[in-house]
Amino acid sequence: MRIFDVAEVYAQARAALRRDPQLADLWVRGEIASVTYARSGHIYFCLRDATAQLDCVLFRHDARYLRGRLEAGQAVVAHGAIDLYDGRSLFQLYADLVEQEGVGAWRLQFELLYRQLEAEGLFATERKRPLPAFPRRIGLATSATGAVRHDIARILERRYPLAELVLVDCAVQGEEAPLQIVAALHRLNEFAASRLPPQRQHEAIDVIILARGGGAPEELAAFNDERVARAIFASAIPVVSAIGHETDYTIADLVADMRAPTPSAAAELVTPDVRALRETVHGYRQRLAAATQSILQAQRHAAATLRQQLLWHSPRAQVARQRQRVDELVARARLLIQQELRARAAQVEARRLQLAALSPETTLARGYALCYDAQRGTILTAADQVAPGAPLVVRLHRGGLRARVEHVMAPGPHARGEVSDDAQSPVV
Amino acid sequence: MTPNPLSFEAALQQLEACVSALEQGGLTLEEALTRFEEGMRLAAHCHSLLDTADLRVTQLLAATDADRAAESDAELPF
Repeated sequence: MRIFDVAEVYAQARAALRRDPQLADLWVRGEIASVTYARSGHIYFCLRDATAQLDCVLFRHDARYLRGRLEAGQAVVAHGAIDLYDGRSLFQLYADLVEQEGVGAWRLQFELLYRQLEAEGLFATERKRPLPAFPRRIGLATSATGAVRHDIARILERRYPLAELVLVDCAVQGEEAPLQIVAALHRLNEFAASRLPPQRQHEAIDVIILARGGGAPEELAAFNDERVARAIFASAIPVVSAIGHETDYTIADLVADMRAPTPSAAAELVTPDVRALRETVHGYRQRLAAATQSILQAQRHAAATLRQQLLWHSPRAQVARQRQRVDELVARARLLIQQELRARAAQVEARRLQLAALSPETTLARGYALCYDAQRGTILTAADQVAPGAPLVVRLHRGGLRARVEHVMAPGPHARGEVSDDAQSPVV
Repeated sequence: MTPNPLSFEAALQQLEACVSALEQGGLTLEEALTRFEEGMRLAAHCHSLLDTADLRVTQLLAATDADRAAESDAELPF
C-alpha cells in the first residue's frame, strides 16, 4: 500500500487526465451560473446544466477575444482543457474560447484556429512578401476539373503571355483536400529559387496562386485547415490566395501574402498588363528619341557656334572686312569732297555778288558814259588820245552810240560836262 | 529561345537605364548615340517579346514524396 502526499494526489490525478487527449481539447455547452470579472483581467465563471456544475477560467489573454460580456444565465459553448487547481481542490476548465450558444461548430473551429495562428504571427502584415513585378513562372494549385485553371490561363494569355503557368492538381474540397493542397504547395516549392541549383534557376517559380471557385461556405473548409495554413506560411514562394467568392474569407486568405477576391482577380494581381507594358516601352522609346534629339541639337548648336567663330577668323572674312572698310572710306571721302565743293560754290557766289556791286553798269546808270576809241577799242581817259574826226563808240547805261570827234579840248576845269560857250566844247 | 535571350524584365530595366542616362545628360555625342541605339534595340526586343509571346502551360504531377520523379512537362492545349 502506498500513502500519497496531498500534492502527489494531484500529480497522479493530472497524469490520469493527460492520458485522455479529449480532455485537453474539449468543447462544452452549458449555462453560465455565475461570473466574476477579476481585477487581473481574468474571468472566472461557473457552467451548469440540469444536474452538474463546472468551474471555468478564461485568462485575460483569451478574454480579449470575447464578443460582448459574459452574464449569468447566458447559454454558451466553451473550449479548453480540463485541469486541476491544487490550491482549492478545484477541477476546472481552462477555457480559451467562449461563444454564445447557437454559433455553428464550424465557426467555433474557425475562431479557435484564428486565435492560435494569429498569436503565432501567421497573419502578420510584416511577413507579407511583395509579388514579383514580372513573374516568369506562375504556379497554380487548384482542382484539375474546375473552371478556375481555364479562367486563369485565359487571363494570363491575354494579360501577360510572357509567363509560364505551372499547374499542380489538388482536390479543393472533401476529406482529401487539405493534404492534397499541402502536397501541391510542397511540389511547387521544389521550384523555389532558393532551392534550385544555379543552372536550374530559370525553372524558378516566382509566385503561387492557390485558387478555388465559389461554393458554399462549408465547401471551403479545406482552406480553414490548420495544415493548409501552415503550408502556406512555410512556402518559400509568395502565395496569392483566391478562394470562393469575394465575400468569403478563409484562414488561407489571411496567411497568404496577398488575397485576391476571385481566381480571375488573382491572375490579374500577379501579372502586369501587356498593353500597359507596350505603352511603357513606347514611352521609353519616345523619351529615348527626344533626349537624343536634344543632345544632337545642343551639339549641332555648339558646332554652328564654333563654325561661326572660325569663319570670323578666316582670311576670306578678313579680306571682306578690309574691303568693306575701303568702301566706307571711299564713301566718306566722297561726302567730304561734296561738302568742300558746296562750300567753294558758295564762296564763288559771294564773290560774284561783290563783283556785281562793283560793276561799271551801276556807274553808267547814274548817267556816266564810257568812251572808246572805235579803232583801237581802248577806253578814252584824256582828250588828246584822239584827233578830230576819229570814230568813237560811246557806251551808255542802256545801249550805245557811234560818234565822231569834232574838236579836241585841252584839259581844264569844266563842270559836269556842261557845254561851255566855247565852240570847241566836245560834242557828243 | 530567341537569338536574344534577354528577359523582358531585364530588357525593360536596361531600356529604362538608357533613357535616364540620356535624360540626365553629360554624355559625349558618341556615348549618347551608342545609348540611343542600344535603347532602340532594347525597345524593339521588348516589343517583339510581347508580340510573339504565347502563354506556356506546364502540368506537374502532384507527386507524393515517393514518386516525385514522375514529372510530365506536357504542354496542355488552352
